[in-house]
Amino acid sequence: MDTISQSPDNFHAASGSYNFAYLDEQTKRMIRRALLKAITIPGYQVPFGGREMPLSYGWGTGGIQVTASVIGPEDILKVIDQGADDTTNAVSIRSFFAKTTGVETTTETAEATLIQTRHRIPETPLREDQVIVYQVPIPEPLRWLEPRETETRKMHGLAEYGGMHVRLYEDITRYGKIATSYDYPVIVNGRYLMRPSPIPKFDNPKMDQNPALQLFGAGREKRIYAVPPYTSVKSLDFEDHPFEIQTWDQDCAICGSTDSFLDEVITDDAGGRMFVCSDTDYCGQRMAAHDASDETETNQ
Amino acid sequence: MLTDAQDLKPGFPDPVPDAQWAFRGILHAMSYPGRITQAGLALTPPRSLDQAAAAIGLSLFDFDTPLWFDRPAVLAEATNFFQFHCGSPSVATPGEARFAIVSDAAQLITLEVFDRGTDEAPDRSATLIIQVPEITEQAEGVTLSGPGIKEPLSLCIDGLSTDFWRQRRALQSLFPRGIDIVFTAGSRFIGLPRTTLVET
Repeated sequence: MDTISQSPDNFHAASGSYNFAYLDEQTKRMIRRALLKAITIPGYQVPFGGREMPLSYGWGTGGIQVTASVIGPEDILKVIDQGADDTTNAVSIRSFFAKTTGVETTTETAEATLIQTRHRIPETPLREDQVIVYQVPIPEPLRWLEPRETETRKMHGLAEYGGMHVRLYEDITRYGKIATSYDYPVIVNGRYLMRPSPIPKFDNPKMDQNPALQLFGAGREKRIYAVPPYTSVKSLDFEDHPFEIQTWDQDCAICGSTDSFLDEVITDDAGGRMFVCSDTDYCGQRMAAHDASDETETNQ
Repeated sequence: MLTDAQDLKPGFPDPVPDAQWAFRGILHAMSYPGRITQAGLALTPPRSLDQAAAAIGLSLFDFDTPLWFDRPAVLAEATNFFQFHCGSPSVATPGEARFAIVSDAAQLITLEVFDRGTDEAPDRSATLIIQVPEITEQAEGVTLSGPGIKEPLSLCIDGLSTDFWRQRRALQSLFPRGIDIVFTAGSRFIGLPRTTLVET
């Protein structure tokens, strides 16, 4: 039996003059109902009454509203932006929730129960007791093919997704391969075409059959969608042009990882550059483990 | 049509954290269909209402969620309870309800009467909260598979009409339209979203 325990002690402590997690209770209820419908129709975009948040659109207002409706006093929150815990967006969202909820925050993926992310999925595999919330700028995968909401709604209703295949095919005719490298379209549970948010296509395979619940919030467009745990998420492709993820010739310059997503960092103005893990926690954990084993060897 | 104040049972003792906690339970149950989840809040709901059903209702209902009750006479106290604490209107036609509280699934009229949404807006569909005597994990029961279920699992849900599962299976082909169900038995409950495939 699954039991979820509760300790409301810090509920009223840290939030000061704000309601817990900033949003009012009626808004949370509306978002919670939308989240439940999103889970029951995987990949379908549920409209919701998005609120004005104390930061601008494009800074994760959708993800913040989802997180605010889910978070409880027992949660341990991690916020990442492009894989990093220490970039502006991640730092400000983390401190927003620290201030309005008083929950514990962490940078360690394995320690977190709730992870809000902009544009990456952590390298450390997620577990059943974790929920990941994606910040979504444009939720509609068909938007650049069909600007009218009335039409895209109909296309989703009829599962009319041929246009997206044509777009990928045009890439092949022009470049010899599918050139889309992020926000790569997926089919969820064999039915809905979904934008995975601007994660690199490197992360797409992690969404498939993931044990964790994945929630998506788009603040400006006022849409919520979800991928339940253990659900099929398939990247669109062709038999003769199967889906492929990015690869690098280099290993991470810091930790030497050969299987993580690497960022290119310019180091000087003479063409110097290095490739390092985009997931700062993953890179740091590997370095810590490396240092620890070095120490053991020295001691022996 | 509120009854005397002393008949009215209290809602959440601490509404903000209690609603959040109850919601996480429902979120978990809907994410992992068929897993028996415990609503551990100490509530004193009306006698006709399960602990779990009361907790779910208090955390999700408000003026935006018209409710339908299968046996208005039996559930009169429950109707008042949700009207007072949540401000939810109750409707006489099941097709107009966002949520339905079913206290006797053996007598439940067909699932067809509930709103299944449309192909373009399948989220505008009803959620049923069905109170049953007992939910147990056992191999002789129905087998569930689909999103949220790693390995098919078997459950026995007591108190359903013989035709219930046939009707539920008939809805599967209508996806994305459909209805979502929560079964409650005392403080235990499970989620059965429309995506769950049921074999009897």
